Amino acid sequence: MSRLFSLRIFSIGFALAYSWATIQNVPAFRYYPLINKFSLTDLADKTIGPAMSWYGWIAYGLIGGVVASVIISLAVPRRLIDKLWPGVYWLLPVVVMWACWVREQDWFLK
Amino acid sequence: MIAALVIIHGLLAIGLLGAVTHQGLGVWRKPAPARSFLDRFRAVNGAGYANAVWVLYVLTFAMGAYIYPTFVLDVKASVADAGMRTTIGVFQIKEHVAVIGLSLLPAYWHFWKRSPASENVVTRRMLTTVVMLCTWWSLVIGHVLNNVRGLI
Repeated sequence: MSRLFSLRIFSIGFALAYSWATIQNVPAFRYYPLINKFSLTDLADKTIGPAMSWYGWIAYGLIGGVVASVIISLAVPRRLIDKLWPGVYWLLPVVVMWACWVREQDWFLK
Repeated sequence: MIAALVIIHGLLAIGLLGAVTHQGLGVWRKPAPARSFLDRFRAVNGAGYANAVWVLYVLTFAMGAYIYPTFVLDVKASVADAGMRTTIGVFQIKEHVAVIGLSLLPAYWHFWKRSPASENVVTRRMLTTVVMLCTWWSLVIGHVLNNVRGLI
């Protein structure tokens, strides 16, 4: 896209950061829909209803995408980015699905 | 209000489904005269759909994310009370599948709009196919789950 930002690297960084946050279950924040409140920490209080981590995982994905894109765009020549193995984009869904399975398997196995 | 938002979310998703299916089936088509209905369906200029696909995907995703808390409190809770853990798991996977499509959109757009048509054909084909499959999975599972709430 430009010398300072690569859309391709953003995609890779987003997917990897999201996968990491999902596997580790470390959302940037949690949302508690019953009390309509965001929190940077796990409030761990059953009386306030379920916590939603999904937005927080996406936030880490976005942050990871932007950071990776800017750093790599500045540090790596464009011609090398152009030579990136295209199979990377096909592996990303596999990585995210693996992270998804690690996080969600209890719904199916327990 | 939430019913209206769910309907808008569904309409956006159907628009997206149409665009990305035209494009996704089109990238696998070899140039030849379009004789059958399927051929005519696939014989489209894929690049012309790229902007519509990413805009509709982001809008559909954003609308889904906005109404998601209501689903968690209302539908998911009812389904959990009914002991349908697998059903919940399938929807949980949908949220990750939707993110796969979202994360690939920048690369998808790059290969459609910034890459010459004669280059990166296989990459473009695979990215488009993945985005199409993510869209189909999300729409079908979301629709079924939405209906499950009415059945229990």
